Amino acid sequence: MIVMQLQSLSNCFMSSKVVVQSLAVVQKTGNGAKNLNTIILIIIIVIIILIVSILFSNRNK
Amino acid sequence: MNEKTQQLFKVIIIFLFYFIYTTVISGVLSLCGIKDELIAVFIADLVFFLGMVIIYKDSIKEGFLKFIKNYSLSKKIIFIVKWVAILFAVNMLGGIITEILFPSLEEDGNTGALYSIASISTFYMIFKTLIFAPVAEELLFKKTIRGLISNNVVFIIASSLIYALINIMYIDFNVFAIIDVISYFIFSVILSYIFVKNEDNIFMSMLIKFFYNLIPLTILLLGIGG
Repeated sequence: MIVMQLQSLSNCFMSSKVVVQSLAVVQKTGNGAKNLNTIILIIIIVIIILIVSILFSNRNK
Repeated sequence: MNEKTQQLFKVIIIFLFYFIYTTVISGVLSLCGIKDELIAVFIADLVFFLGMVIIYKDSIKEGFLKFIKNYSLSKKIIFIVKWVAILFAVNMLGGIITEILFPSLEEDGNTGALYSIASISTFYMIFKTLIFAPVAEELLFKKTIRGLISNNVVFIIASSLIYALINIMYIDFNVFAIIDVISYFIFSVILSYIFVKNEDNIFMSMLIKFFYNLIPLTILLLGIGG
């Protein structure tokens, strides 16, 4: 009975794609990123965020 | 070279390794004759996971001991239930709003990849969501960055922004990507807040992420099995 209720709940959630989307994990698809430029861009953005944060953090000490 | 610059280089190297480890290790395994993509990705994740645990083993141990010592059983349960419920409510709300606003939108790449992996290998899915994500990802996005940024607010914003950006790195850019950034950002803000509020105890955010992921994973696996 409980399993049936859980499965009905699961079907309800799955149909709305909400549950899988809510899993908190970075999944690298297959061979990695499809677009190398995007990766390089994000790496640069990450480094900029880190440097700006260090500067802000030091200023607000 | 001062201490902060050394720390910055350390963080950048860890992140660069994070970006390329799957491709590099899969390539090496392919040269050794291991052609199965799932096995290669699993071994790559395992190597990164073990590396992060070895680097930060003292912090994990210290956090675990603090949690055991400072919290009674009832407090432990209340702490976990409270934060998991908050995270779940926030994420579900975000997902439902997206569904209402953009009902015809297809699932994003990250979601699609997770769903297909769950149907191929339950074991890998469990490893990835209950072990790798709570431990390796939390160490990467919280502990590593915290070493650089001492200001709490700046740390919460920076680590959450980086987490959100990296989450959408492997998907195509569309409306979903923008919504995903916001949703991942809010999720990470809550986890970073838990980390900072508990005197930088990484074990706390790991624990919350573990129990949080347990709910959708259970529903997902039941859905696939049913």
